[in-house]
Amino acid sequence: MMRAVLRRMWFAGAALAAFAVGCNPQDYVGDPSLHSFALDENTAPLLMAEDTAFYFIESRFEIPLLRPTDAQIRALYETPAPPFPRSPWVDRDDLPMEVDWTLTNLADTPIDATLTLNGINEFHEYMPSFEADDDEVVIGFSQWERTYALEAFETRGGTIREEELDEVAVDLATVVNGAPNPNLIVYFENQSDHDPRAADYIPDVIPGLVGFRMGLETQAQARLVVEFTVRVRDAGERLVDPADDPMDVWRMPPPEVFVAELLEEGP
Amino acid sequence: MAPEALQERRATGSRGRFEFAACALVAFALVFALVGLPLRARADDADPWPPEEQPDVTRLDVERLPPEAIEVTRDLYAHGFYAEAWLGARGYVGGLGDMSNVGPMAAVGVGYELFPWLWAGAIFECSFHGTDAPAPPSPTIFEQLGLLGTLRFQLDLSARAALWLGGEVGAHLLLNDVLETYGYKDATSLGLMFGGSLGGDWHFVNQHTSIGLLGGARMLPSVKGIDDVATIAIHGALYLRYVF
Repeated sequence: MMRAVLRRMWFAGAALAAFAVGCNPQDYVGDPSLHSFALDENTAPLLMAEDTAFYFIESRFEIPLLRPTDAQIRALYETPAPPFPRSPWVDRDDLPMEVDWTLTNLADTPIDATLTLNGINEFHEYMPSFEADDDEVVIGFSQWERTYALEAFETRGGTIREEELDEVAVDLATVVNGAPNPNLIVYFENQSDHDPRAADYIPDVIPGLVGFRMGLETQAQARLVVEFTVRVRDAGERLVDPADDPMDVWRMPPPEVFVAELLEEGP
Repeated sequence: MAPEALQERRATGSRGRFEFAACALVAFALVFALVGLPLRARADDADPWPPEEQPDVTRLDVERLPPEAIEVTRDLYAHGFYAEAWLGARGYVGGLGDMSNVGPMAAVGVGYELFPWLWAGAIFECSFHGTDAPAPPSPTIFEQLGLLGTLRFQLDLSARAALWLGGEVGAHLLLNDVLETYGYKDATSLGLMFGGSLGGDWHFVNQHTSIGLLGGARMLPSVKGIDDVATIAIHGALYLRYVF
């Protein structure tokens, strides 16, 4: 009888441990896993118009990917997925991720600031267009962006959820597949899955995001700090820890930059 | 009627009246004796009423008497292998204490009572904690798993109450690398853990089962924040123990 009781307790303990471990499949990526970038009075404007300056900085983040074997690379090339030359190593659902961020105004004056995010997959990365003429600066939409009116020394925070970044991945695949107005596709209120203007351009195979560029836009000098963490669920077993397995990290070719063209018509 | 007959009839009638009076007198005396004697006897009797029942020496009557209670001592309890379950809470001081909340804790343990005053065993435990730190990242939870060996010294206060003090040493594992985003380097690696617990045990009127309260603290020397302060985990729990 005692043996049976001990056996049951062992199973209960093992089940409890498995439950506790299984509850937490997410990884905070990067070393250090807290990332930050800042804009201050020494930051030069990216564009100048007659009375307007446009300040813009970005921080690039790439997920350390497990290197595919030669056989796996060959298999990817044997199954093309137009408009891409091969099937992606990271599929749409392989690496769902979330970004937690804070935006802090370190100055004693209010400021309007826009936080942006543009996606990177194995083949392309999205770059919004910036144009300036004599009178004004015209800025294309980023794939994810929010504008905040910050009071002096105020901190705002938030989370870019998995489904928002999934929409970024779908939009990136859609615009490189020939959608005529990228700004319409990436505009945050337009959702690809129920937008008939985008439906015809969504490819059958959508590469997953392997990184992104997070940015900060203002139209005045400011002292702003952005901090963010990236939490990834390794559903497709594509993640690798560079500290533990440096030789297993995939040095993939640099993605092609896709620059969106500004059209006269807005979204 | 003839004079002789009339005279005889008169003689016969006086004799009948005499006989009736004699019979009535005897009947009255008899009734008085039957009713009056018990009344007289009850008034004069010194015996208790109702009469006491004397113990009967027969076997049946001896068994009918209540048994004499046996004194409860610890010798009557089961000794040897035991199993126990804990349910309580744990919080941190220093180190992780700066960015975590108190959370629920559960544990199971097995062991052996070497002597009435010395117990040896092992404990597997887990606890869940919310983070409490400035974003990013946004608040989340992390878990602590632990496996410890323990040696307890028990002091019996009475047949049912006892105090014990145990030393514990083992390993811990913190899950969720969110801790590293807060600067707790290597927090999610397997680390040493040691400490102790103090408990009060109350035995049920049952050969196997007791219940108790315990509290204690453990040092997690490898879990240090950016200020290089080690973490102390403090726990309290209610436990149920079964000795086989």
